[in-house]
Amino acid sequence: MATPTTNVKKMKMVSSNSNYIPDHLSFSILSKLPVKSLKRFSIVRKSWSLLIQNPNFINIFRNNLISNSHPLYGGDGDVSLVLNQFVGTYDWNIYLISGKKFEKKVKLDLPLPFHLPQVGVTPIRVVDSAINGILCIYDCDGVHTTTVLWNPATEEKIVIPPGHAEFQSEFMTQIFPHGFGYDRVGDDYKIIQHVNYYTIDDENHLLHLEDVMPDPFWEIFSLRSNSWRKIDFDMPTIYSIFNSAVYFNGMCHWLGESDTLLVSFKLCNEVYFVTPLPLEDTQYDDDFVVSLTVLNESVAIITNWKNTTSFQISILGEFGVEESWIRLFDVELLSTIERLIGAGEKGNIFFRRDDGELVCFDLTTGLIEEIGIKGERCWCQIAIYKKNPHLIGDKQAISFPANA
Amino acid sequence: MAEEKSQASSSKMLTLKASDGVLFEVELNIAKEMKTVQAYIDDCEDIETIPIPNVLGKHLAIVIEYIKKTNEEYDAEFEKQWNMDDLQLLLLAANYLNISGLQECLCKAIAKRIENKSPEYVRKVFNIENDHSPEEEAKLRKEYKWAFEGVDKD
Repeated sequence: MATPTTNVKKMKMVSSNSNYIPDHLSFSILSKLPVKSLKRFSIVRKSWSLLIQNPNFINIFRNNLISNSHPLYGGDGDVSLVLNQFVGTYDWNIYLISGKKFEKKVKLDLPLPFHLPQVGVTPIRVVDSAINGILCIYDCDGVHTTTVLWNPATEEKIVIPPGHAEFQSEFMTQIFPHGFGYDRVGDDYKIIQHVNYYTIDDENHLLHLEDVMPDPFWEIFSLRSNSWRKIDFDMPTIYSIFNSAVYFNGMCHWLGESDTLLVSFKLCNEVYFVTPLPLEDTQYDDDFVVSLTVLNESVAIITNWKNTTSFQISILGEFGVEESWIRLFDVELLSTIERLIGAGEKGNIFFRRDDGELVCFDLTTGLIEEIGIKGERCWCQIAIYKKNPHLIGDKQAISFPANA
Repeated sequence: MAEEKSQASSSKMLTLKASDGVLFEVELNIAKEMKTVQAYIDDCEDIETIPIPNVLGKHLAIVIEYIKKTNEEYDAEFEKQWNMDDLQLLLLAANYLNISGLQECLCKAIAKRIENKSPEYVRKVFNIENDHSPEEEAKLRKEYKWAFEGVDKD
């Protein structure tokens, strides 16, 4: 019979208060909370108020954020990326990319409205994120003509009818879709866009002349009613069309006012929040780039100085509260980032390297993976995509988890 | 060949004895998921009954069930059946028995339940005394005023 060893001795009664949770467990629980709850619970006791400054805790908090699957798509592995590649003015490609090393690439055939016979393809932008396997694409070649909802898996396309914009020879009309999202309350897909009227002066500046032109306005499209409705809001508009908009959890978010403000528009009740970005004085500069994305369940910004090797990520604790941004990552790479183009699943950050290659940096491993596609300048976009074999608007097609 | 080998090792049964005397017969490969039990077995190879003095029979049963059934679907539904008290006791059990998957699952579950609660509620749940001075607490409440909006009533 073996004599008791230290392991056996450990098996004795430990504590009489059976509900006492030791620190390492309570910290593990806290590390899974959103920023708002963490800040609130700093009141609970002294050691909890110091947590957010503890590098070990921040490490665990960070890892939780990037190791969880995107809430819209769950973890069942069927998630891929959609890449809008800009090669030339009339040469745009949409790829579906999947695989751990992005080995599987499928070039999609763009829907007809975007084809220009003998020329190629109109310049296109994908609005926001892919939702439920549906892409909202519009052409951005000067005078905006077409917006389409497109499900590449079924090849179903819905051409969105025109809104309330006016077109006259005396001025130019700019139609700018800012967000594409799903209103869970109304079970409806919606698009929000801004219409502006302008003329071009001798120095190529865009001028809106109040007496001569109609007022700019916002309008919302509802797929259910297949119609646009003007809304009378004074929200900041998108300044840079590169990676400044994202949809998450029933809200469309975009960066406005020269990328200094975050606008968050709730689709079900049309309430919006404006949150100033946590910028230092020196960062109000065209060479300082801000990209908008979603990390786990938080809205996040990825920032970097153009053509440097480092980038930073901050997440937002509460809409409308500038103090609630938390800087989580400060990353130094060996490659030069020409342009950040977005975040994918689980801590994947995509950017265009200075040699033109589109690459992925994995925040968890610190490794860079080349996608094997080159992109021109800053026009490339990337979004998470999950195939949906149902028709747009089908009841079964909606398969969101509770918070999407 | 590999199948035979695993069958041979998994057919060995072990008895776990909970703190209230309830006995559980489990297969060796299930018991090995509890790293604490694994260490016990490593120390005393021919042991047949292992005492688990910190875990009630009721909770040990749940833990064993979890080990047998754990997958993404099961985990998502698992925590919904238990109240906060049970969740904490299960977490303590998982910690004691050193089952990392179950620990993760329970930490996530408890976090979800306290996410929208007040600090007072959390103190009660975790049995914690407030060691902030009134001035410190007032300062924090003011600094993080935005974090106190939209909180569930206790």
